[in-house]
Amino acid sequence: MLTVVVRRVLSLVPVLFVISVVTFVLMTAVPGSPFSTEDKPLPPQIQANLEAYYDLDRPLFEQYLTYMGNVLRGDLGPSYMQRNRSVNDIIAAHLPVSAVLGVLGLAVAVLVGLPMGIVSALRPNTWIDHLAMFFAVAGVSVPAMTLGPLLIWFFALELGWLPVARWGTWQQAVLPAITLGIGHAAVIARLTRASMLQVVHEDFIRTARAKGLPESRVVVKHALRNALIPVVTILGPLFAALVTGSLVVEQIFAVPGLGRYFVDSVSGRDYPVIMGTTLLFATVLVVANLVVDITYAVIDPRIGIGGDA
Amino acid sequence: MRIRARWLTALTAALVLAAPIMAQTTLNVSLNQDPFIIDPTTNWLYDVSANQFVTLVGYDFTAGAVIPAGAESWTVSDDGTTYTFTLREGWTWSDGTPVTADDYVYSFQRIVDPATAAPMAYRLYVIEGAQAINQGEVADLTTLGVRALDERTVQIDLIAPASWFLSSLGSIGHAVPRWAIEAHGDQWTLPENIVVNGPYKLTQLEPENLAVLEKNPTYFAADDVQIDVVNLYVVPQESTAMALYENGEIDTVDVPASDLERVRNAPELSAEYYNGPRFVLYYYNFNALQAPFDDVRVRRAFAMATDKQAIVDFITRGGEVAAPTLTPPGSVGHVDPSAGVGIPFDPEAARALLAEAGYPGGAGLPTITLAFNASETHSRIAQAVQQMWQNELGATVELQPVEGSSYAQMGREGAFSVWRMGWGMDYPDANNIHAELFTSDVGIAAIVRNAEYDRLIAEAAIESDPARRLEMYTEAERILVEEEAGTMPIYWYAENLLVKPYLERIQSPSLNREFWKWSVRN
Amino acid sequence: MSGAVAMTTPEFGASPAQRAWRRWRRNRAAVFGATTLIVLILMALFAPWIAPYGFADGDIYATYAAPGERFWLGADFLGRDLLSRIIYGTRISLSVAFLGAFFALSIGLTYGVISGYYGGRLDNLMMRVVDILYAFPSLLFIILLMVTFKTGFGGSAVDHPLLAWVRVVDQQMGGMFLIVVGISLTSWVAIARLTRGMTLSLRHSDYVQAAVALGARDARILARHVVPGIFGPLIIRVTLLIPQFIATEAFLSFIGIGATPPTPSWGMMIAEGFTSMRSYPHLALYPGLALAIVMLAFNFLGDGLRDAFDPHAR
Repeated sequence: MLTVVVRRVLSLVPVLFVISVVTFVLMTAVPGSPFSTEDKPLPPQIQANLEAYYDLDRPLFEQYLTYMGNVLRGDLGPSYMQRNRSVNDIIAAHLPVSAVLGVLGLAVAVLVGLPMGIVSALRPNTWIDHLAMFFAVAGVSVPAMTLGPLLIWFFALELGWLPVARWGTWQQAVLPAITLGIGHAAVIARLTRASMLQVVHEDFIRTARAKGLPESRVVVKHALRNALIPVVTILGPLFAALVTGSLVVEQIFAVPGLGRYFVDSVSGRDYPVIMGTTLLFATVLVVANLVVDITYAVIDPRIGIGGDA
Repeated sequence: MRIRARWLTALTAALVLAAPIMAQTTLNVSLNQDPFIIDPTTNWLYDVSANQFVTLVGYDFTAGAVIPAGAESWTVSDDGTTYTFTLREGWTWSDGTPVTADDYVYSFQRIVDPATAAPMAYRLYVIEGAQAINQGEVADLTTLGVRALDERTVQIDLIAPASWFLSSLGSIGHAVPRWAIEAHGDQWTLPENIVVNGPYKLTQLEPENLAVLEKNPTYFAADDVQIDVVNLYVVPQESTAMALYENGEIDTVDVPASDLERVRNAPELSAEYYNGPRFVLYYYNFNALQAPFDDVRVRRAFAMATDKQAIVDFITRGGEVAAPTLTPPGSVGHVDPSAGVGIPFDPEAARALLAEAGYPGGAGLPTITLAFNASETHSRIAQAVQQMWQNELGATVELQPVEGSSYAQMGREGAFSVWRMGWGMDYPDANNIHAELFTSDVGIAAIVRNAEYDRLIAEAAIESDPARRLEMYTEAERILVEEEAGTMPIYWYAENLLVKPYLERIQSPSLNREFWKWSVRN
Repeated sequence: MSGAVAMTTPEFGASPAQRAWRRWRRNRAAVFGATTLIVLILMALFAPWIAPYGFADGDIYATYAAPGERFWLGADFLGRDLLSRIIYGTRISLSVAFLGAFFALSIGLTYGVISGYYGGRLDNLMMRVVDILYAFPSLLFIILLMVTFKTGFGGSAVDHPLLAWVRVVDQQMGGMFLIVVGISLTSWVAIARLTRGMTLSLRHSDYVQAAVALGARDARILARHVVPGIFGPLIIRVTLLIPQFIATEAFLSFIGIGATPPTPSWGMMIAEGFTSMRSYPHLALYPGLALAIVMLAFNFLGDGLRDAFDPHAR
């Protein structure tokens, strides 16, 4: 088991390498310069000074090698948009915020979605099921950019229960966490329901029931365990997506997270930030997927990790 | 329920306000960009830098005059090329070091030094030696025409007389502390390293989240600064800032366009509402490199078919002023509308002109790409203009939202038929618009060239007689905007603010907020 | 499952598809979902005849008009009829939904089943490829794709006729072509992973093992036992992806690179409307409602399909 985990962690290296090459090629192929402002093109001399300042006047291949050399030493380079902050600084400052918000959002998604899905599956086609699924559909249909302002209006402005936005106190985390989590809760609820319904007809469940095991034990020990596989599959990428930040939620609630850097870095052609955030996202995702695979093995011992069982 | 709600609000308020000591005056405002850009010599000017560092002179937009700032007085030589500034006496940096002429000289040298790679360095090219240094032809920074004659005297030599130069110093050339920069490099603007000589000093900085400015006791006019602490919260979404204001979490806010009607009709909010002009221009450029806009008649026809008044009345709705010419009112070189310069809305004449150019009823016109840098307001205006041109002229107009930094470059090189631009005045003088945006020197290949226009702008820049200058700019605008229709001014922006009754906010049409002039009543 | 109980005696001579059809017909929610979708498809096809106004016809003097006699659902910031824009918008939203789902499902299912069923080295290799694609932030990929194509390589020499063609097609489709391509190219990976996980699990189940022991051909095992066994959760997953597609499109509009205005995409209408939610709630409310109806319909349909195709739902 341990060797397999080590092997999987090592397999991260080629993945990250390929991603770094692909990203580098893609982003340098996109037209535009990091240093032109929207309102006025900079005189060529100013442009040249800026390019020299960041070594962008070197050949691309050399730039890539220098960059990767620095990355191996743990330096992700400077940010062109904010010259006194390195990409390391940016990640160190904003990843924790996004991570806290992401974990809270994930908690909302799982704590709301899982019970809803289970209850629906246990009472299929009853009013409970219909109600739960109606909410699930509604949750998935309302985009964060509509839900966020609605929650602000209702809970902050009308009721005065919670602050409008910003980050720092636990009250300020409530609305963004709900906005972030609720859509995913709906996904989890529907997936859990579908997969539970599938499982309850399997032979081993009927065997368990026939053996006279209490229904709660059948549900938890046998049905749920197997039903969780598809749910767990989406939790890995969901974790990676939520933890590295969500632009819309962070913008609406003025949360100082990492999300905007994924978009702003591309529009600003801030190459080191594009590379840094991409590599970070990839690492988090690969690790999360590894954890998912290990979880598979725990839930269902018939599946090995690494796919070679 | 009611009691619980109040209790929670009180708790939240207590948590938010826990830090400041009683009896201090605190201002809470929002900031729509990251506060991390602070060094005024390496970047464009933002609120946080404008409140911490002092230029030689300031510009009072209300009075329309240059006022003393770091320099208490100045003289200009008869030929208009040598400026001599006398600094204030007995004024120190926040670490106790006296503010000297060397600090200003260092600042100018740092901006033009190619190693600094400051994007706004070109604005100092009018100073002797600046261009050569910035282009790397001369390495010796002391050849720059900014020199310290003694502890309190700074002398600046220009390559030519430039009447606009003094007002342009209101937004460039802030003194910066050399010793702090040399000790800490790019990190000198962090709260633990920063040394300032202005009204406020940065004491706390959380990227993308919060900047706290506290009154700097060593500022020469510290006694006149009323607000002790300014909390700047980063709020990227303007509708969120609006909600923060309505919930009493910030003291003043820019009203989003879509909330204007609600604000004007609400009894409480309308009392806190302020509307005033801003020195920002919104305009469209025509690409003269390709058909159909290589024909002046087509450019004029499209300009005639654009109902600017409808755009400001029904799309932007914030009291913006439809602009017949480029330079905004209140600036030197603004052409009074009564002079009749510009192309008025006249769809019939537009159709006639288009037919004359060989496109009767729009027949034969190629598809026109109207580009704008992606944003909601730009998109709305573009959609309105698209409709006007389609309805009035029968043109097929395709919209092209472009994101990111490639936009300006693409427009300049002629990738679109028409493209949207905007310009906020760095200093209130027509030179800031013409010489930086439209003359042949600027290098925007796609805008129509006119030698007479270029000559007028070059001469107006060094003309000292104000009446003569206004004449030259009037003629220049008549050529560029009316005769050639190379560009189409659409409107001048307006300020739409909400201000809590206890806050006195000095309204200034300049781009940065000057907190040291504001006051909070308890 | 009450509806399915009556189906306990399979009729002789009825193919599995016929049986599925019969099971499906009994499911009222599914029939409702399908009916709604058919109505929406008809609406999309006949939009010019149904809509009271054109989707781009604005009356600048009627901006932000409240719902009333002239504009049933009100008018937007340009004085365009919201109802007409929503009706035309079904074209956009349904094509994004159907095309995106079709590509994601067909690529992802094939890839995942092969990888999961054959296992071993092939699986390892295929999953490494998926790992790499998966670890690449899909949003970044879509944004880079959009930016590269839309800015047309900055007029540089790299202007292959194919690229020009893509740009023209995209402009003709109001900017939706690249969105669909981007969504399709990134979303199948998730389906592939899910499929592979479930296939792995089924591969070891008793009935697949039994089929293997009996010497059944792989193709037959895949078609008869594996695919039907995983089809239920997959269909659900795909119907759940659809709102994500539409949300992606709205997000791209939010950051300014989505559909080209004045294309009446619901995502863009919501993105544009949400900022003025407090002053003009109808601008975000009605497109949001339309979106919810489509989502409900897809979900009901997905449920019905799952119940109908699931061989274990007895």
